[in-house]
Amino acid sequence: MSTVIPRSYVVFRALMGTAVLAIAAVGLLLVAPLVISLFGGS
Amino acid sequence: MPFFILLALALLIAYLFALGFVIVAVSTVAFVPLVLLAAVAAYLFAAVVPLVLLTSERWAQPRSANLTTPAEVVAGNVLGAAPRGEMAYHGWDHAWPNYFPYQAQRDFRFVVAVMTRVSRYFLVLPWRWVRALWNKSDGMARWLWWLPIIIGMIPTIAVPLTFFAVMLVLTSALFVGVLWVVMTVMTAIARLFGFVYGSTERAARRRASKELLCPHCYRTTLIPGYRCATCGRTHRLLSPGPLGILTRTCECGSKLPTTATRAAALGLDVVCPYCDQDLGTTAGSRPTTLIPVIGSVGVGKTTFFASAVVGMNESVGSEGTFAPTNPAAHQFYGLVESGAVLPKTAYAGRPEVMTFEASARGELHDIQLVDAAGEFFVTWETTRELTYIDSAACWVFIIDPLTLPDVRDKLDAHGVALGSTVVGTGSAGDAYSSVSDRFKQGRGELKSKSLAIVVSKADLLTQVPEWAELGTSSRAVRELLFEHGADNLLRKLELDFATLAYFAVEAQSRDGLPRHRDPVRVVDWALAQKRLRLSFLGEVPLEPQPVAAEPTTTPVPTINQ
Repeated sequence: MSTVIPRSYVVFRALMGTAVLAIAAVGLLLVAPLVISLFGGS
Repeated sequence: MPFFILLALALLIAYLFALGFVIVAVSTVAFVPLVLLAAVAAYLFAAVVPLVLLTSERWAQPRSANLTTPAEVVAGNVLGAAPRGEMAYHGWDHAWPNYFPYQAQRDFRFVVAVMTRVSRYFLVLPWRWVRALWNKSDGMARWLWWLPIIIGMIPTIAVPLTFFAVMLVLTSALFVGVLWVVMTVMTAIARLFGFVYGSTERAARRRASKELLCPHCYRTTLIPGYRCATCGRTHRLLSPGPLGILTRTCECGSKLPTTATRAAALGLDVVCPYCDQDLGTTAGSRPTTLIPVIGSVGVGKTTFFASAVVGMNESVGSEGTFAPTNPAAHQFYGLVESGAVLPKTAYAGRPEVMTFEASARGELHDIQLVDAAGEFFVTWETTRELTYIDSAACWVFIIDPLTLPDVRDKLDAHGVALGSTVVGTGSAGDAYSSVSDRFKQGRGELKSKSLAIVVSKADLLTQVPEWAELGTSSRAVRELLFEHGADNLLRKLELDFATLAYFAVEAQSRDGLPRHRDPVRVVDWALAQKRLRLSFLGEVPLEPQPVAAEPTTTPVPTINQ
């Protein structure tokens, strides 16, 4: 019998992947000002 | 000749200087941008790849290897070997576990494993290239050509790639770490909600007396088992938990509710979670009262039930409902309706639970009557199978007054003929002890139960003038028993139970039966003990009221309604 993966698993996996992207984006937003200030101040 | 040697040396030195200059120049200019580029690439890679790994069809196969399937759950690889509590013996149900944290943990490990593999690959890659270049040739070419190239590779390729690999691991760990915290919080919230939801459901069912009593194994539970409507698999632990908070996904993919209330509303087939017997669709979904009788042979237990069944049927009228719902009840009901002489209850096999559904203009209730042959009530050994009595909140203890010599003397003195009335055999005290002593031995708490002490065959007693109004008060019935040889038994009963009431019933015929001696009053009292709204003789006060013993005769504990 083929395994019927619950829809919740599919949805949550997509959400988790998207959450990683979101965390990365937030990380960039936090780090960007620091980098700009470092280069901008020189 | 020396000139050529000097020229060659000069050229070699010039070559080395030029090569060194080129390497240093390229490295200095390229090193920082390349390292920065590697860091950014690692960050983006770690940000994008998890989404690809978790959703792309290309990765479906390795993802499947990490699934927390129902088979894995049943095998004990996901939620532990078995659930805690009574269902441990049966193991986990065939259902998909919650995504958080069970599948999520496996998905995280899958992503981390892939990332680790990728970073290891990039860590090793430059050194593999170095080895390949070094082995490309030997002699002067290796030293004069490949070695400088290898040296040039270190700052421009090897270091950025190593940095990429390290950053990949670090950023992946950072992202997964943040998500792990999110997962832990979500799991905690879901578990808390599930706990509250499940507790509320159980409390509501307990308050409403919506219990399941299995007529086959006599076990009771607030959480019935249900069969999946699609595949027929049994779900014994259908409550909010690791296999679903609001809904549960069966192995076949069907959705099931996680509470008995919602499962009953869907009309799912009920299964006894202990013995796997099918119990229809309504079992455990209605307020349920179990009424077991205790009494020795010939005291009138079956006649009491027969009269009660007829009485309940008459009482509900056209607006209410009263009907048998299981084969044992159908058989008994048919026998009672036919007016045939009731046979003596067979002392064979286990007593059957007769389930009747009843309503009086309101919610349907289940009334479960259990009649057992008097031969069961002799010793601990013989009552060992009557475990349904342990589950009942209210016991009905039937005493045949004709077994009391003082009562017989009084009837004889007043010329009361027994006619065809069967006189009970055996001791009422022994019958009671056979049940209560075994129950107490098993650490049962009798104080939490109610006892209806029913004096049967009151139609004979009322022929004695001083007992003509017997049954109008609980006190009078108690006095009759107390003063005619049952005093020791009553002392024991009143010490054992906190709530008890005395009834006198006529069950032989319902023609002209006064309501205060109607067996249905005992049923009403049993229903009231569970605080159920159903009452068959609703307009009649729940007399006789429980009474305390006469202070002059014997001290007894306080008796409550």
